[in-house]
Amino acid sequence: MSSTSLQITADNLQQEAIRFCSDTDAYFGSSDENLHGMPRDRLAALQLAALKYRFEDLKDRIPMLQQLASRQNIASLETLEDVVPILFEHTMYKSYPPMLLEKNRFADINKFISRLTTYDLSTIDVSECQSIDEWIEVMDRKSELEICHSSGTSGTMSFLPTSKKEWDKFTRGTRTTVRSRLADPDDNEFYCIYPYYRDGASSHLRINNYCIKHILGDESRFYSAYPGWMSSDVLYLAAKVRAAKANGELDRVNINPALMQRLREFEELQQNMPAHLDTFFEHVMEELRGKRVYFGGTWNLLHKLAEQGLKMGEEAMFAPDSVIISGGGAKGVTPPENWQEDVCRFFGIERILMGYGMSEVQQMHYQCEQGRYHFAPGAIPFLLDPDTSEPLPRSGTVTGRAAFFDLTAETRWGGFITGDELTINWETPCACGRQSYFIEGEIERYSEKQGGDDKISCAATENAHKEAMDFLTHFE
Amino acid sequence: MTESAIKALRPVANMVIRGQIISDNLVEFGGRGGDLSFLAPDAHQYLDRLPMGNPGKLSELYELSFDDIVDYLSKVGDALDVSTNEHLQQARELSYLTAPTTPSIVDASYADLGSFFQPDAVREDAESQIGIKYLEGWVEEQPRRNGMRLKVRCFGARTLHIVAGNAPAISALSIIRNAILRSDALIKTPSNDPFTALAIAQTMIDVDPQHPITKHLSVAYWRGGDTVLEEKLYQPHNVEKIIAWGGYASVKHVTQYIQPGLELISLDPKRSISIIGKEAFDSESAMQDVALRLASDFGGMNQVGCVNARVVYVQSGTDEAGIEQLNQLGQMTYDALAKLPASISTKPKAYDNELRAHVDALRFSEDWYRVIGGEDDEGAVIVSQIPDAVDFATKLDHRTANLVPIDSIDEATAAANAYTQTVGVYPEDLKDDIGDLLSLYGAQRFVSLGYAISGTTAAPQDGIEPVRRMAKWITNEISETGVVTPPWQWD
Repeated sequence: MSSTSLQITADNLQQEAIRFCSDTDAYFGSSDENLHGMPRDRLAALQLAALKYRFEDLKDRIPMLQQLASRQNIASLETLEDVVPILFEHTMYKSYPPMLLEKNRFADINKFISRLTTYDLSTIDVSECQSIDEWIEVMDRKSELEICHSSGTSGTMSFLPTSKKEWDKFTRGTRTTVRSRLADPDDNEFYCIYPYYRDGASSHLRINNYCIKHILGDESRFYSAYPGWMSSDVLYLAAKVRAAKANGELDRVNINPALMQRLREFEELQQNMPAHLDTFFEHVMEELRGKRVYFGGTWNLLHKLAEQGLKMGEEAMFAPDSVIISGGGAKGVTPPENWQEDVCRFFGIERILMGYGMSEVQQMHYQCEQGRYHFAPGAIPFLLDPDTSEPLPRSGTVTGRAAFFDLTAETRWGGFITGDELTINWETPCACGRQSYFIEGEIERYSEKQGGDDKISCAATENAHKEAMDFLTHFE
Repeated sequence: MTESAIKALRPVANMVIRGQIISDNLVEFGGRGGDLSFLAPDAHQYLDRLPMGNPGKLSELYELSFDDIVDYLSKVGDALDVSTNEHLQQARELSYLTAPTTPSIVDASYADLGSFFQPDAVREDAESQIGIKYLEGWVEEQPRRNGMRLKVRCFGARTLHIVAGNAPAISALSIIRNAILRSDALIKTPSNDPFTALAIAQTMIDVDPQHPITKHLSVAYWRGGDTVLEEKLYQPHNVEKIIAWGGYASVKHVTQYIQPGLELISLDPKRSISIIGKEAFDSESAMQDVALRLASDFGGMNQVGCVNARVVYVQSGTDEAGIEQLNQLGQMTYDALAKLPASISTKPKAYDNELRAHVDALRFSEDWYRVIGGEDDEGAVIVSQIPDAVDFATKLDHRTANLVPIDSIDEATAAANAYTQTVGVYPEDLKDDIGDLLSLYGAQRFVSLGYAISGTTAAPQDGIEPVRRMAKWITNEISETGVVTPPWQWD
């Protein structure tokens, strides 16, 4: 083989890799089977080529990445492991002073977020914005992004600058998974019951618009218990008030009275939720009984829904080919043992499609019939030494801290280190027939493993503080 | 594997029940996440012997005079010489593995253990916390205004101490307080220090196994929150007072057992701050002095204590010149950190990953933060460039401080809350301006900047007087019908 043809092969690989990571769903022909059908060697080559492409394409366009790469002396990537020193920790998305949010300094927040995305947000005028909600409204309208945020438990919120295009791609992938479970993919009418807000900037609410667009096809098929926008200001404020209460300094926290009023309304609404859900249900049941439904959300929302239905004596409410997707979810709360049975009984389905994912990596890793989470090809999984963050070998059976590179992220950096401990068997393929790598056993949070060992200190560490707060107040 | 083979592999934290050493029925503890795994007698097997059912047994302590107590503690103190005491030597070796600090700091703490038991120290503790005469007998006070004569005496109680493991001195202190009060103590050790209290108890057995003070001290390890065990143990017929140090988990578990007859003395987990006035910038030498003091406040004992500063408010001004001088102070403080003696501060044992991720992320937000050091997990000084503490302030640890610029000292008062313990202040007279208000907001202890890890045991602690509360205060009211109107004559 001549060196020219080798060159061509490399070029071909790169072209293919670009196609692969630009639209993973299209590349695999919108087929769930194809998605997990690629031989491991071939996928690895494709992923490496795509990783190199992403780095080359983004390294000079995302300031935070540029700075990190230069600090780590990384100019190019040769192997998968080369990317490990420049994966982002979750802290990168919240390393701005809490004061910026407290004082509505949204131009500064935009300056901060601009460092995490290829878009320059500094040209967008946010000087008139007096609240997080107003700012998000302007950003949704004037930027290519639909920023999503965390619940803000510590005074800041993480801001993840996900582009509208990336949300589209992600949800088209979900659509493929959902439709692959139907006997006739063309007969694919779904309805969605959502026992919460229709809209909001938390990632689990952001997805609703895209679900309607790509999976339901029409707004009228989406039934939310609360038709409005879940206020980000209220979420932020609730966390702040909760912290102030626990610290004994509530009276000293400066809170805009109008916002405080909204918080009260929200708390009232939360309190009245069971009654409201009763009414909501009665209405929804009538219309949706026996229909095929789709639901994607955290276990607690789902279980709430099921409990409510079962309480009203409803079982096997919907079509048996309804698709219910859930995953980990509500932080720090252990799900009741029987939650999956409750949900299946209420919906009338055989099993919940469990997925493992996170806002920072827009890939869902679904559980197969063997109960194992298979990695979606759009994300490269890594296991790191939990102490040193060095990559662990990609062979044998290995346990470590999970990290991912989301190859589909094209306007932000897809590299992300999770707080999860996973075990991957890099050798043996799964009995389910999928070629993809998968997670062996349970997923554990490192944060929940610490501090559980009866170490007592007089210092109020984060864990002690958090536990105290969780104990004293329950919210959301 | 036989029991002896298991023993060969892992250290044993024996149990001591009132002068008797117990080393069988071993079960394994710890070992998670790289922690030392150790064996200890299964407390479930000794549940009937751990508490002292009959409080009347305390009476043998009342055959001792206070001088006897002082003498005995003094002997124990002399025996707590780590150069000769094998129990201490072993405990120290093992503490290298369990302690959150490093060997040179553990060494210094162990070398100092005996000093707490010396007569002057014990008398000062007793006199300042209780008043020795109240320990020695009934004290007749001034007649009350209704004519009643009043005698008061301080009695011991049956106590359970859930001690913290971040400083070995806590074990010594608990044992001394128990002896002074003529109480019976069961010390429940934590997994980050299962050995210190035990070594002291074993030393007491060596000194005098039959001494009443030896026979009113028990030391055991079980996993905190073991409900089967704790439900049975934490009952008013077993224990009257529970003294819980730190660790919300330990307090939270205990709260469910609190009932009439069982009191909780909670030394809650706390955090500390420092407040530095503009005088710090009066001269180069003042800045150097402040830098060293500050390094000592957050770097001392490697910042494992509640007393250690984490967020530091500095009246540097928030304009460009002010921030510049704060950055200089930050650099000086970082430099001073490296010069602290190894007996009080070293490179931390294991820098927390989560904290590192937070600190490293700030390196890319230069407009708002300057991070000095931390590249080698040695500790870092984060200088906020705007008047705002980092959002992970509660996670600051392993010799990591956050310097926050302020214009007016009033801004610092906002920093004290229900979690605040120590406030290091510079200059000294700044305490006059801010002390009262900060106390109302929650601060519990003011120290001269640099002395956070220093201090005395002969003072209130955490805003309460725990030693007074560990005791029972009994009154004898003497009323003569001619002097005090009897109730049956009330109109």
